[in-house]
Amino acid sequence: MALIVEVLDARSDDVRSWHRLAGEHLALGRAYDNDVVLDDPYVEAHHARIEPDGAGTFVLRDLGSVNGLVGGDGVRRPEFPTTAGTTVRVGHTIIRFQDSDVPPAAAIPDRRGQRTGARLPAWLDTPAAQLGISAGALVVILWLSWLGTYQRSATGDLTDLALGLMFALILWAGIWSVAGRVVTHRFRFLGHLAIAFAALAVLAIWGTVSEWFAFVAPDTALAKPLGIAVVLLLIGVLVAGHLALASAMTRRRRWTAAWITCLILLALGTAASLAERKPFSDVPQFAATLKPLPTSLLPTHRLASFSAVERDLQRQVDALARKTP
Amino acid sequence: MDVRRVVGLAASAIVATALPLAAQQGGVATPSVFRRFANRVIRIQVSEAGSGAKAVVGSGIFVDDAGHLLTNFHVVADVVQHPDRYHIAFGDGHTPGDSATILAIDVIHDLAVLQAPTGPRPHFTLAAARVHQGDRLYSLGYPEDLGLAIVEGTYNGLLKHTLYPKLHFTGSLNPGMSGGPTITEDGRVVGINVSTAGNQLSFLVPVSDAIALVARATASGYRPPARMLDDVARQMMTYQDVYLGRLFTDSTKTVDLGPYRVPTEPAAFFRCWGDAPDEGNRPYVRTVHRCSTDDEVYLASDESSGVVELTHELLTSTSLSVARFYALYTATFARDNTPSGNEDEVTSWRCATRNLTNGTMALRTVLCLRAYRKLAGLYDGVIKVAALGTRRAGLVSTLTLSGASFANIQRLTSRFLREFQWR
Repeated sequence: MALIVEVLDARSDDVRSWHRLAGEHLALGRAYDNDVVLDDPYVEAHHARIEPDGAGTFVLRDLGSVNGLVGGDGVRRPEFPTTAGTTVRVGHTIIRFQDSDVPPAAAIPDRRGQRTGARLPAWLDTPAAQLGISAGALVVILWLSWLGTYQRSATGDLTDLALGLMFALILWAGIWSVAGRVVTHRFRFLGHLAIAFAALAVLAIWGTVSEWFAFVAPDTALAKPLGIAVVLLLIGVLVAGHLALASAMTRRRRWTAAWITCLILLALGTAASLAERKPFSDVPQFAATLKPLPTSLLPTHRLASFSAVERDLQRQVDALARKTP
Repeated sequence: MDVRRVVGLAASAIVATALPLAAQQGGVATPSVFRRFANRVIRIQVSEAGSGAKAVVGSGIFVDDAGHLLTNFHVVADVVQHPDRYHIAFGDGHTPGDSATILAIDVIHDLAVLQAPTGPRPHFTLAAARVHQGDRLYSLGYPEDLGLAIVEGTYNGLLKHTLYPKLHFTGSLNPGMSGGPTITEDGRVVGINVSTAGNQLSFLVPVSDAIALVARATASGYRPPARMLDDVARQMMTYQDVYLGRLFTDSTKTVDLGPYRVPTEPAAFFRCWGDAPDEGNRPYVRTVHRCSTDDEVYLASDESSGVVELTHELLTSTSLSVARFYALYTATFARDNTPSGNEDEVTSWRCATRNLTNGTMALRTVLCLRAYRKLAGLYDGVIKVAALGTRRAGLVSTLTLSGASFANIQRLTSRFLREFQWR
């Protein structure tokens, strides 16, 4: 067992230096002949001294300084015991006594080493592959958008879309990579950009798939929940992907964070749609999508089957009419 | 045709109508017609009960000494819709005058008979009037509540595209003149002022319809219905049965549009137009075929009913790819061309979509339905159809039925869908 004197940083309370009491005395002051040199204009050249108290322990004793020794309670005293944990202000510098026998906390396991190799296949972790994914995704998005236009020239609209998307996603990837730089000390801009572009391209492809679904099977009760589930799944994957590059989280914690994000978005979305739900509208909502599918492949119903659909509509609007507006 | 009711609204809806093109030939008779008949034209005011503020100003005439005051239904429609919120007063235009109540209504012809205190009053005696196209007529009323005015014009016969007759009067009717009389030089009532399409294109209810309503209202044993809106619903129900019963009867007319043969001119009183408007530098051609009538029933200030409209839009393109053509086709099909509506009168729309086959063609079919809140058993129905199976041609057809029974909507939907064929 030995007495340790810790000199603390005044702002953060972090320990700036440690000093072990090797012999019988330890001198503290601004002068260079002290054992502990304190670079503090409020400290005397020879300010205080640790020495035996004659009863087998040590005390910190004021050597007649101007500013003296002040305890944690703000009271100035000529002498302080050196029990572990005691803090004393010397000028503007705080010192704390410790016992060398106190066991330190266990080391924090470092998972930084596992990340790069385990989380991305090597071929994906190259700038070329990541730029390629971003560019490919942009082409897919623009192509699908172009298929949705019917003007003679859609160049202007598509250029606007491309520039808007690039601006937004560069900003998005920039935020994630700055966050990653802070947390993992690595700036992985192209990786984040590729993840964001890929997610958007999948969303665009899903949009086309769901249009075909709505065309072949209109008014299916499953369509809306399925659409919401796909979008939430995509957001989850997006968040988990960004976290893989920008954090030191384990896989389990990444996915937990992703699903929590989804749940929050689902709750917000539900709340927003409930708040916005208009009780009345004179604009009808219906599945208008048309697709060039040969009629031989399209499941159709006979005219006679439509009367049941009509009667169901009648029941619905009669129920609405019974409610007061 | 954009037809406006000639009713004067105090707050808004000041309809700007063109002034007469000079006072054609400056009729010598006009001052004497005005002198002789001015005192028989009554100013009718509908006021909000709480504040007493005037909501609507119209015109009217007494038809006997028993206090029967004839005007348009749309002048007093607010009172029918909200009997506890509005009341009716009538006078000579200088004083607020006495109050009156509604005795009988004819929604379809837009007429109402009010009950005022009995007593001898200057009045018109209604009788069938024989007039010829080109005859000079004089219309009287209170335009924009500016005081009694007389308007000269000519009689131009019956409108051709209505099921129920309406007279075409070439003269400037303005808001506020609704319910006033249009008379001959010797004071015979030819019609009741009802609406205008601007530029001297004005419409009158034939005096024969007024005679019929007055006869009904003054028949012994007639009692006004406890709730006037029930009478509105009853009349609309009867009307739509007669009206819609005439559509798409045995030999339906068809028209060829691109590769399609589609139903047109649901009845003889429909008027059909076709056009392929030049939409500039577009990589497709849109051909429109539209059929409508001039029939319309006024129910409330923002609600008209009884409208039937049929529209076909043919889309063709040689330069668009199939996928991009279908983007155009989808956008055209999705466009909303349903009648607007008011929350107090109708429910929201509910729609159902199915891919149907009528034996020869596959049809994307949407039916949108909404119910009338105050008129039980009446609905607005819109049937939208897109023909499927072609690659660079498409057809979007819409049949709009407003103020129809569910049975009629069902019958006409199935009838309409059966008529689509390939050429």
